[in-house]
Amino acid sequence: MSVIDDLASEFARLPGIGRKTAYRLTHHLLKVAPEEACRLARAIDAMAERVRRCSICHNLSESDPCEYCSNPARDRTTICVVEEASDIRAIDSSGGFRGLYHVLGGCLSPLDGIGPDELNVESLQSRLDENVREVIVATNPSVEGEATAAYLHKILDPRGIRVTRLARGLPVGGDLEYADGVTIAQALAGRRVI
Amino acid sequence: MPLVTTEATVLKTYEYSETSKILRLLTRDLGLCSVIAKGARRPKSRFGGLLEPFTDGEATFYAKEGRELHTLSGFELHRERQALGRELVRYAGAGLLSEIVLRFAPAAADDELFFQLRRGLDHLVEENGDLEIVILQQAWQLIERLGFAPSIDRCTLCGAGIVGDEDCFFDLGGGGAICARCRTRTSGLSLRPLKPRARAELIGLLSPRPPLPAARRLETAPAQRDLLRDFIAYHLADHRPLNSFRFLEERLR
Repeated sequence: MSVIDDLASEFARLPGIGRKTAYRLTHHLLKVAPEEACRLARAIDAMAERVRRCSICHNLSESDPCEYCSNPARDRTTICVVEEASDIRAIDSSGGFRGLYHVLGGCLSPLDGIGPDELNVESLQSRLDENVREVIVATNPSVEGEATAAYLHKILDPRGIRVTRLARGLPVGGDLEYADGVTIAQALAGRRVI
Repeated sequence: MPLVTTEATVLKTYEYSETSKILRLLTRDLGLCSVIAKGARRPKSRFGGLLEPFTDGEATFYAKEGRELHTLSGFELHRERQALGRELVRYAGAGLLSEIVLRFAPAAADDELFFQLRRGLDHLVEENGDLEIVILQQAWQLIERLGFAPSIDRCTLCGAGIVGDEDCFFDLGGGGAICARCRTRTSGLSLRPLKPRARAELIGLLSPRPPLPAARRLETAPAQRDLLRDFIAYHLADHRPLNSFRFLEERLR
């Protein structure tokens, strides 16, 4: 196998990259200046070398504990539980949450054989000291995410911790006329007094 | 490229690329199908929250001959079953019914299987009594529809009828009951005892009309669970238990 084929087959292993796109990316790197390709290689190398799972929240970070767990300015009474480390960036960039995070590593899925033992649930429970007053379950608004939230509520509620779930409903800027039935039903169920 | 519109139930979804989803559907007209819903994961997608597991609707897609993945162009909601996710045993049961269909349904359309799955999911959403009865009953109904129902009224070896209070055995490999007389004449079979009570409850679970009021609990629940798990593994799943069955058993413990 040539070096070109080798790189293309590595690209093709990435999610959402097919064979054609893999070759397109490979040929793009062959066209640009060699230092640009080397910069990409160095960035990948550094990421593989330095990025680790935080031993407390399982976030991906260069430091352990991660920048959220080690930041004394963050609110330690609230933990936001997310499915994947990439969800942290989305929530944190909203500016609406200044507490801590916990990455579950997925959600409950009977068909995929993913039960509570396959998720970072035990480490979540071990973090719940007397300071923690609320756990926000920010799993995806899907049946799997809902089941995961139900499970977390079942195990955390007896410990006297307030367990909340992100609201579901109409997207900001959306048009009610074009919203689907499931979303409208969820929005109605979650309506609040003005 | 014909545009197909058919009733469908979403069995499973997979994330694909940044914004799309691949769905495994049980359709009324084409049997099991895979479709890609482009852009379905965007917050303002026209599919919105419709494309979730256990949802019924009318799917419209471009079916290309010779292709295994079709492109979904529309999905009109008939019934959503989001409530299944709010209780783990219901969720596990729905997962089991979906996995049975996903793994063992024939490629061709089967009207009865299609409606059996929908009935099973509806029962799971609506049941207020013992969920385990409903799950086992609906799983056996699907297995029967797939052509693998066990025979328990008569001995599978001698054909003699088995009466209500008679101790008998269940032969996993033979797929049915064996009377006590034949038991003494056989060896090397994968037998397990089937007490009169367990046999009566199994007859109830296999019956198409629900003869077991779900308000009641199964007296032989662990034995019924073991039998269903092992029966599926032996006859349908190459001796491997289903992922969703393991998940269900952990929830019922």
